Amino acid sequence: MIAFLVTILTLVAIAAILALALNLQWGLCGMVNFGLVGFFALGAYAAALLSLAGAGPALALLGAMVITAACGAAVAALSHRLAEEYLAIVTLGFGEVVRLTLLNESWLTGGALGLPGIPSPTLRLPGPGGEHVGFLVLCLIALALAYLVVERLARAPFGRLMRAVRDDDVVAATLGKDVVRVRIAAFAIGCALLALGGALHAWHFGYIDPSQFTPIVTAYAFMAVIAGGRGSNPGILVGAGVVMLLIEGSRFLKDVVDFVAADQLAALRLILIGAGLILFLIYRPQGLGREYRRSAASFPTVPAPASS
Amino acid sequence: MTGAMYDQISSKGATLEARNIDLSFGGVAALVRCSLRLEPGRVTAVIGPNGAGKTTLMDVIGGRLRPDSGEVRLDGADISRMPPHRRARLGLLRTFQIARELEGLTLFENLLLAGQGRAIEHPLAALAGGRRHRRAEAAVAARAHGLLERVGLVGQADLPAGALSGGQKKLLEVARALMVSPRILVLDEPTAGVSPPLARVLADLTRDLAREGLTVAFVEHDMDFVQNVADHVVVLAEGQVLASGSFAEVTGTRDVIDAYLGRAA
Repeated sequence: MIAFLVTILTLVAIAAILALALNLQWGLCGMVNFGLVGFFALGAYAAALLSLAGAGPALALLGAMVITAACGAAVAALSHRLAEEYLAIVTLGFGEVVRLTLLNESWLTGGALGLPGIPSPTLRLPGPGGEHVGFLVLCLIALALAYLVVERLARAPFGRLMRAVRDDDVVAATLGKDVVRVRIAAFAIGCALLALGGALHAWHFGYIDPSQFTPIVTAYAFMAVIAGGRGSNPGILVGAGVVMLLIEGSRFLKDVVDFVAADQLAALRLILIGAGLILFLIYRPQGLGREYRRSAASFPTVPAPASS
Repeated sequence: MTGAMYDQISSKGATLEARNIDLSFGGVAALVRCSLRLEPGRVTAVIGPNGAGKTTLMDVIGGRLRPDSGEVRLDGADISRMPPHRRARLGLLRTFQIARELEGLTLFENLLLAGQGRAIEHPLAALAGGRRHRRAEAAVAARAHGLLERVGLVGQADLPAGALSGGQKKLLEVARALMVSPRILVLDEPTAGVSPPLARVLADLTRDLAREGLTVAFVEHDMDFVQNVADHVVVLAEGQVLASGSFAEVTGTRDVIDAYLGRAA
């Protein structure tokens, strides 16, 4: 049971990192990334290949983040003239390109057989299953760092800049803001975080193949951001947790519901998750959290408002 | 106190010249050899019937639209092919006919955004988060507060901009443009949807800014506002400059009366 819990928490941490990355790109900067899983896979494969080639974990992670961020920057730069919905199509296409490349370039990626035996870093904690707990601790540290980064970005002037580009890019440009550069920066930073999630995923399983990187990963990240509240990093932590608990927790339905066949139950799980999200959108469409807004009085140079 | 902050709002005005602008959409000629000169310390009003090309001309000046021919010069330098954000960095700021507030940001954040410099809005500055950047941001905040006092919106500072009234949004747009230290301020129908008291605030502000040396132009239908605020009036009709001069000169012109009231057959 402990082992199962450790695994679940590890997956929640990775899912939360993906959701935070999507929140930066879509929640704050308004860039729909339907190809999220493609960047996630790119990060996972880059980290895996570097690890297999003998690179240390730090180097493998850095390499994966740089490569994925560069690809993200290229996608954002190429599609900068496209309106929001077209970026969705471009990223969706990118995700498919990545999947097909991974599947077919087997000299590098192992094709459908995938990459086995990926060496992974961990902390050697005492006790049974100590290395799994150790890896969970690593994932939680990574999540904490990712959270710090995105929250700092969201609260800084750069966060306002992203939100302005999201709300009305024409206005941002008339105020002297270089909208294209903002979009490229936000997308690339988000992609670097997706690569972080990908590297942790590859290390956690020790084996990756293209079947792990299906568009459902993208859907889960969107669910987490919608449930958590677009723009709100604390909300998204909760949202990712809730979504993953729903997904993993509903496995136990089979212990409670004995009148449905196992294969039907699998389909029922997805229906339940979808229904949950719909109910959530009906009763709390803005999500759990609200994005950070800097109040005037929080500046030392602004006098506190007179109470009226 | 307020006055001291307010003094820093505008830098020295600049001269803007649009020369022989032609622009057509499909077969429709929106602007035909249209010329306009804006000068420091002078308020220029552009008036004309609906569809005369007033907003199109503002879009050409601001850089949203590129003319088919003709040129736009700022202090003599050709900026005809410059994108809007680079024109803004040179001090050419404009507002929109239908107010475009950034609705997800508060009123105060709208102003902060406009005033924050490129150094402090860099993502690396966010991660480094030095004291220098915090101080720079606090200075922007002080300036924003001063401007909100000036336009009488201090009480609404922390409201989401989308929740403001139409008139308040127009004031927000002007205040936001002023955060950028403009040298030329172009307002597209500043009083549309604005209540009379707020329109008076706008009129006073516009006059004051011009007195300080800022170059101001606006498109307007409210003739009282034009008469009170403008030093120079340009009349557009069917994409062409029909007349220009003082308010009295222009409104006495036969062509102008015809353009507004329809030609007697």
